Amino acid sequence: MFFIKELTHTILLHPSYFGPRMLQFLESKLYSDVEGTCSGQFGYIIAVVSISDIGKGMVLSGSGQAEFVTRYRAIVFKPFKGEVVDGVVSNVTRMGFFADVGPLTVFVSHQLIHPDLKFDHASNPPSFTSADQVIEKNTKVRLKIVGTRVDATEIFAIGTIKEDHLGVIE
Amino acid sequence: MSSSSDLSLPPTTPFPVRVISIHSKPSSSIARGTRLITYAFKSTGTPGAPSELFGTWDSPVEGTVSRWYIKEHDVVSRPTRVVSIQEPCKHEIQQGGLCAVCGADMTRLDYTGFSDVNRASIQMTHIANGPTVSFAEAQRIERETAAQLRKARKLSLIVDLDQTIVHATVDPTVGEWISEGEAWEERHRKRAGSAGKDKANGEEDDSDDTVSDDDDEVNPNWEALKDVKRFRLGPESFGMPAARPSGKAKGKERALENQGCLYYVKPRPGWQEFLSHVATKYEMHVYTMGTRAYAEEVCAAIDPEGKFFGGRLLSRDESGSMTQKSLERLFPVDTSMVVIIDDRADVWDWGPNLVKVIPYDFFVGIGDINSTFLPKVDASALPSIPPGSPGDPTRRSTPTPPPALPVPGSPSPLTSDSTLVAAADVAEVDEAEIVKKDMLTRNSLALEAQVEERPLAKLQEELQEVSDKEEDAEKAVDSTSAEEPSATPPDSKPPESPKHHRKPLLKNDDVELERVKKILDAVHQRYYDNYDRSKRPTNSRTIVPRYNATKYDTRELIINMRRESLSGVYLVFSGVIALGSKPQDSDVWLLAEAFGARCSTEISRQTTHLRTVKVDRAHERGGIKIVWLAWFVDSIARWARQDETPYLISDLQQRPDPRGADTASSSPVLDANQISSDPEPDADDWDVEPGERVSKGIEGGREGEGEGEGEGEETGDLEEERRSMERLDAMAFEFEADAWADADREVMEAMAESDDEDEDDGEDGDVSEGGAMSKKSGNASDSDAQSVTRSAIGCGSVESTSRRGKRKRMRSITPLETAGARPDDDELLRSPLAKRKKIAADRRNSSKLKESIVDEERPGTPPLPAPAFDRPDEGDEDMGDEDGGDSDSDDGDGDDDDDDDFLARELEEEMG
Repeated sequence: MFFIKELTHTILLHPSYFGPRMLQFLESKLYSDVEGTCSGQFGYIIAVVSISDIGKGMVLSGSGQAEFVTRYRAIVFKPFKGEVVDGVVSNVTRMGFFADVGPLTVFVSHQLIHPDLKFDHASNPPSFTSADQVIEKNTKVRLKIVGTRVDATEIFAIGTIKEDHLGVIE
Repeated sequence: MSSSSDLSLPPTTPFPVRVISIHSKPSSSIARGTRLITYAFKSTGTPGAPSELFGTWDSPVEGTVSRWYIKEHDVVSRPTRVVSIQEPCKHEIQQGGLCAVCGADMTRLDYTGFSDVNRASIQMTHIANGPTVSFAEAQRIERETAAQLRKARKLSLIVDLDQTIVHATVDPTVGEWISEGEAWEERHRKRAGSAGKDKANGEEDDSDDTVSDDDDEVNPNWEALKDVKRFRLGPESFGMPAARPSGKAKGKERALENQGCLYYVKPRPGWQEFLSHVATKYEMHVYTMGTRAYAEEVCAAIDPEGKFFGGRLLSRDESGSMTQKSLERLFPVDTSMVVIIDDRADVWDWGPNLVKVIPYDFFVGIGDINSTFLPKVDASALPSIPPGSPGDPTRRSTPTPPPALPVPGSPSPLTSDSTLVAAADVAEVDEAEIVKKDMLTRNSLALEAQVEERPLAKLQEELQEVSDKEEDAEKAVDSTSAEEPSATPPDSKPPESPKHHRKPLLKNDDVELERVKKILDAVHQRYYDNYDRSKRPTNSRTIVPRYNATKYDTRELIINMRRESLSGVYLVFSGVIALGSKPQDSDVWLLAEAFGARCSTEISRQTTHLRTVKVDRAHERGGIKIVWLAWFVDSIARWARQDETPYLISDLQQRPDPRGADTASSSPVLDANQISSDPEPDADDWDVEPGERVSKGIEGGREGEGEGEGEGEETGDLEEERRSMERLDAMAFEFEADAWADADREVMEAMAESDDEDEDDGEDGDVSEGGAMSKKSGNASDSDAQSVTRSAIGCGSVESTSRRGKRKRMRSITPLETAGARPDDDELLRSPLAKRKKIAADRRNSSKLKESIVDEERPGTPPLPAPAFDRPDEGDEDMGDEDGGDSDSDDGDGDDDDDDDFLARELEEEMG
């Protein structure tokens, strides 16, 4: 699920950057630091929407670096158990397939795939096939997340397509 | 989804315990942590009267108790099953710490100490962080796979990349040759003929390249290089120490066009046909020691549509081991439908599924760029890599131009080759103790070294110089040596001759894939024959499931096929197995038995091939074929009993080297003996005229000498020596006269003797092997009666009393009086490569002796400056110095003296 969340990020700036373009630099530094990262607490930080406060630089005694505590609003994506999401299949193995849901990779085991869809050894690329459906790399699927595990920097998720209205979408 | 699982008391329980009460009745549902039983146990830790203490056992899982296997007041003394619990999910597939079925977090740990993660610990996908499964699930998946394969009438085939179906190098020389060739093609197309005198390529900036602009012919290597594929990999794919498991990240690095290095991949001739044919009978998996990115690129090159391998690609990033390949990694339960083709048997521990392939060595001397960290068992060990292996950046930063390397007539005795010997030894010693990190660094260094040092350019130049010197001899060579083709000078004056060399090479390799294909076909055929046969009764009876899976088993088939190859052959080894070791444990012995031969230590009535000792006795007996070890090596490499005639020791004909390529480099022992290996044959191919190789005197001399010294010799060594002798012969006639005088006498005797007996052998040899078997009771003394197809693989000499290395050294060096060129102690460490090198070095040393002549003879020797260091006698005590001298003469200026000395010192240290 996506949220807009106000977050803070601390930037340490080397004195050589102190100057007229410092703010610009801080902004780009913020973007590059936080966008695309994943925190266990908030999920993936998709994009910085706005910077609410770049912060007052506090020069640290000793190093001379300035510390900016930046407050910004960002779109974050955090998967929840039970959530239905759309994804793109990225890898198919005989044990199931992996689907990319944005930055999140969800594994759907063969036990959570409808038994009609069988892993096809002969196919190239590897796929799960039934009479009328094929799941292979780059197939779009709708799946439901049945479990997540949150690491400090990573989120693992397990999905299922063995329920109504889930599976291949056109 | 629910199934019952049996639980036992944890091993930490203070057994024996007496069950006091059972808290959960059958069919009661329990959660994790629900108390199951209370028990009593005797305390043992405290002195005094043993007191009874109490403990409890809580359920590590949730579910429903289905039944108890124990009653109250029972005593449980072992961790056996006590309760069966119906679980809603057994977490048999897990991914990223989650159960892939119920989505529960598997990583949490509680006081019960029961780890759910361990319930599914088998990785069987090709991806690095793929799902893990439990044993039961793995079984189920494999059953499913097997059923699908059988339906398609296929088997599984694991294919190695490097030196099996492709050969890769990073030597930029290849690129230059290719662009040269392309430029030529271009010109050719433009003016319907090759008129251009211009070289048209400015890339020839290589300092090593002594290209004379005389050729309007295409680079002679172009023909063979036409189907070489190129790709660039980023620096990570060198396998920098922090090897990340993710292949994807590495793949992205390829975008960095200016970094990393270009790989040149030469598919083995016949690969297309091979792959498409085998693909109909096998489901192919790639298993390589290269990085993921490398494997993907190679697969993209040889299988652009992915129809052969699909995504079934396993590289060292996923393999989990840097030095071993594990069949269980892909087939954890059932390997009865799996066949492996690989050029290295050691990484598979000589598994029964393995069909060993003769390594493909197209880019001569490059070896396997992805297994520098593997023990150098292969004779194809890389001459180029050792210099880099010691990981000495200074050395690489002053890349030694090649001049000193080749020239047989070079005035410098301190040749690059000897350097390489030293370095190789160092590398070997090092490799024993390095950790993975080091391996990776080493590998990357080796690659860098290869890029910088351009072994191919060196070889080419070497060849060029040699050919300059021995025009007539060289051109006639038509042998099939593998080194020839790519080592042929690009600008050799008669461009035809290299082409001639190249063709045979390609043919050879074709044969190899053909052969592998045949074996694979045979395995497939037999498997499904057996399968069909066992299927019929199975169907008529009942369902008999997996039970007869053993009846059709590729392992059995392969073992049997191996056995058939030498069945009925009785071997006695002479001079092959080191004295003092138990012959039955030696590699050769085991190998021989694996291939169906029967071995014994003494000549018995049944002996058919003598390969080790007691040639004399064999002669007395007659009916025994005495052959070079090469016969054995070739036989096992090809899985077929080779015709002994060319290998007979008493046979005065030069043993033809049927294969330019490496023989089965099976065991260290074998390797040590084995001749084969491309660089070596090459070496003599270019200096010796074919006619010369048959020289009787030499052959005899060798044999005689061996006997005179009373030391057993294994064929490989002999062969090598003989070759080196021949080389000497070709180059140093002065010496020959003296040196061979005695030898000749001995030879004549030896020859006379062996000839007689050989005739006997010949007669006897015709008798069938079966006869031999039945003749067990025959007279030992009567050779006719023994008749069995006896052949003794003699090794040219008698009692293998002592260190063959020593003798060898003496032999090759003594005539030249450059005695003691090598320290003895490195003999043990010596790899086949090193041996060859040594020989090469000796050869060079020898020529050193006739320095003045040589110098005159070398008109066109390119940038070779006056050898700054000419220290013929230092070799024995100081390899490092050789190195220094070597590079020095290479550089030709004094600037690097310090460097070199430093390097030399370092090398010395490493050499111990």
